[in-house]
Amino acid sequence: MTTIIDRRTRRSELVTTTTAEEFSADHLLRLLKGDVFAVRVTGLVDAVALDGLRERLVGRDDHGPLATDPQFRRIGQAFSETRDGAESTYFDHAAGHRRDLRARAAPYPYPSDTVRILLDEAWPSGATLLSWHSRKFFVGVARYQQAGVDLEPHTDNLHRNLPDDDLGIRRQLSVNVYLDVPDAGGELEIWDAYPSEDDYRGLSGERVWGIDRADVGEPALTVRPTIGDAIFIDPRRVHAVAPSADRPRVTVGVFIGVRGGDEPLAVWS
Amino acid sequence: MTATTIAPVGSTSHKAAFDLKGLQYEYTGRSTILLVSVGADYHEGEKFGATIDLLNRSGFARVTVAVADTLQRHNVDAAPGEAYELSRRRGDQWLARNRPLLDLLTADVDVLRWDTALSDPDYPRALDRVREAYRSDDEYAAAIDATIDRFVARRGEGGPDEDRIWNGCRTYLLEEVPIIQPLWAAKGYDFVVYPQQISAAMAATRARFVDDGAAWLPLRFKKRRSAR
Repeated sequence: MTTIIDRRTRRSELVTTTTAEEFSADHLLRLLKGDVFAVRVTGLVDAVALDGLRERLVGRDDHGPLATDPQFRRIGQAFSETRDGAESTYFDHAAGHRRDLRARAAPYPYPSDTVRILLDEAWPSGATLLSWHSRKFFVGVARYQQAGVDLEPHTDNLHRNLPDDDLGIRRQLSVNVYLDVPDAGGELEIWDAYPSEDDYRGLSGERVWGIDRADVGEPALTVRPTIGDAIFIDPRRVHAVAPSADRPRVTVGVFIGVRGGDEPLAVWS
Repeated sequence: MTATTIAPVGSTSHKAAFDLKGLQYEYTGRSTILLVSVGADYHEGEKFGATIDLLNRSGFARVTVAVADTLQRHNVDAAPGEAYELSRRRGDQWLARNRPLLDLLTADVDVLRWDTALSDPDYPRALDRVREAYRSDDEYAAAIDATIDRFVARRGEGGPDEDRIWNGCRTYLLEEVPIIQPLWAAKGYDFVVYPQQISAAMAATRARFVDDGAAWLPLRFKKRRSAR
């Protein structure tokens, strides 16, 4: 895998850290441009809400298996789990999933709502929930990555994460809000690789999903999340999550679609 | 009785021409980017109006007005978030102020803000290629650095902030050149209209990454005789 990090760029410069108060559209531009590989927003969920959310969402065992790989567990359903022809089922359940997760989080704001407000206030034309044929997407899948499960190197791509129709989205970013992080493992790993879809398929080879760790070498950046933080990345970069050595890693995940600079961002899961 | 219609003009005092030093192009039916530096005097008032007149006379079929607003965030002396907001707001104000002139364009017109250019799916790879060339190709690095030196000299060399200005300008240039040359050429634009001759950095980028398209059309302005 090619390495293109500027020799003058220190690894610590590949991640930028900010707060919700200081977060701006410039952070998203830096990610889109590739100046940084990750933007960490510390304390996106404040201490009181974090305690409440952890009480309600960490340690649950009523999560269901990810349709595309049952070793991963989640509450809510990501569109990427939807098989061709079953889009209608996803949209039938989207509002229910949004309500369900808000109800579980109440009286604290569900983290995907907090992310949406953050984006709405930072991006010049705001942020809205993505819709398709006037049907609203679900956003904010709660993911439980069990101990020992390896979220291997992979990319996320609009063409794999959205309906085939042109929704006007040019680029995709993603953000995870961390509700629990194992004592050992669970680090976010990002490689200095931005493969085209063809290159990615080549790297995947015969695999159904992702890339063999042996084929990608060491990540350019390893970030150890802190609970309550949000970390934004460009998921077209190869990224992975190291297996947890002890307890599940619990996150709330949001995809962010970037249209033109004069149009609102769109969020979905 | 015959009614005659006089086409509205953007400038009664200035006339613009392409400053091509002998080069000849055919413009009718072609597409161009009109690259706008927010805050530059030639993108305001009579000179900008004269540019609009020239584009109309040239017969372009499509004009994309590229407002390089947030590119300027690297030159704004403020924290990054504040610099972004300020440069973006200046872009909003430029568009509002110049809308009457843009409305005079007879070609198919669209506006491209800098954020949209940065969001292009092909941009990260174009940027990587430019950065790689800057690292590995001494001649290319020299062309980029020479353009930075000229810019810093204009801002006043030797000041306490010279290093910061130099680094900001490098960030600016390495962000700008992949969009204005390889990316816009790949998008099918035939020309880029700008009121200055092509910089060393842009010319070197063009030489390395563009076979065809996005040809540079510099402008010169003259005062009309009647306006003297």
